[in-house]
Amino acid sequence: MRWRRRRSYEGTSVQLVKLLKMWRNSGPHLPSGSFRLGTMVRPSARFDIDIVVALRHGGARQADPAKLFTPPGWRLRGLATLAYSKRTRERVFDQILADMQEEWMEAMVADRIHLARWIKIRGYASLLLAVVAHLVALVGSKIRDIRQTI
Amino acid sequence: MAEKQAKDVMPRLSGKEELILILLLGRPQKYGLQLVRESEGRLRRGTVYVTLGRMEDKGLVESRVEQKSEGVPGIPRRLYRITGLGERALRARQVALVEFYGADRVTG
Repeated sequence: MRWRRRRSYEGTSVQLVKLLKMWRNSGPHLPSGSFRLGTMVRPSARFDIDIVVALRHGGARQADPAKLFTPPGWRLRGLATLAYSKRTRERVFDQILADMQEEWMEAMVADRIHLARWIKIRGYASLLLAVVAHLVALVGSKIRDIRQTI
Repeated sequence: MAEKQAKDVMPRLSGKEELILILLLGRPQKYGLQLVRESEGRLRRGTVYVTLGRMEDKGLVESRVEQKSEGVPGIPRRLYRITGLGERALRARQVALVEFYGADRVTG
C-alpha cells in the first residue's frame, strides 16, 4: 500500500515537474501538440503536493496557464479577501503567498519535492505569523489613536 | 527652529526598520523576499511585509507592483525602494547612535 502510494506520488510529481518546466519556458501558452490538460484532482488520501494536475497525452490545445494548476495558498487568498482590506491583502498576504509560490515552483522545477513541501509548511507558518503581527500592529495603532484623542 | 521641526517630524526607527533601510540603501529596488534573504535571518518572511507596510505608511519606503507580461499567471509582487525621508531618517538615527554610544561602539 505504502509502495503504491509512493509510486503514484512520484509519477504525479514527474508530470507536474514536466508541466512546470514547459509552463516556465513557453510563456503565456503551452506549446500545442504536447499535452492535453485534464481536470484538477485533489486526492485527500495523499500526503503530497496540494494540487495534482492530471495530464493526458495527445490532443493539441492551447490552455490558459492560470488554469493549469493551482499553486499552494490559493484558498487562503480567498479567505483573506473576506477578512482583510484590499490594501492589507495586497501588501501583506499576497506578497507572502507570492514568495511561497515562487519558491515552491522553483523547488518543483528542480524536482526537489521535499524542499517544496518544506516551503509550503514554512509559507503557511509565515502567513500565520503575519496574521499575528498584523493584529498586534492594528491593536497598537488603535491604542495610540485612543491615547492621542484623550 | 526649522531644525527642531525637522526633528519633530522625523519618524523613529525600530531595529528592523533600520535594517530594511540599510538593505535598500543605494539599490534601485528589491522584493521583500530579497530583503529576507540578504538579512541573514534577521528578518522573517512572516513579518517583513507587515514592517514594510508600516514603513510605507510612514513614508520611509515606497513600493510599486511588478510589471508582468500579459497572460503570465501568479500573484503580482511588489518592489520596494527607499525614499528621501527614509534616507534622512536612517542618517539621523546613525548620527544619534554615534553621539550616544560613541563612534567606536557603533562602528565596531
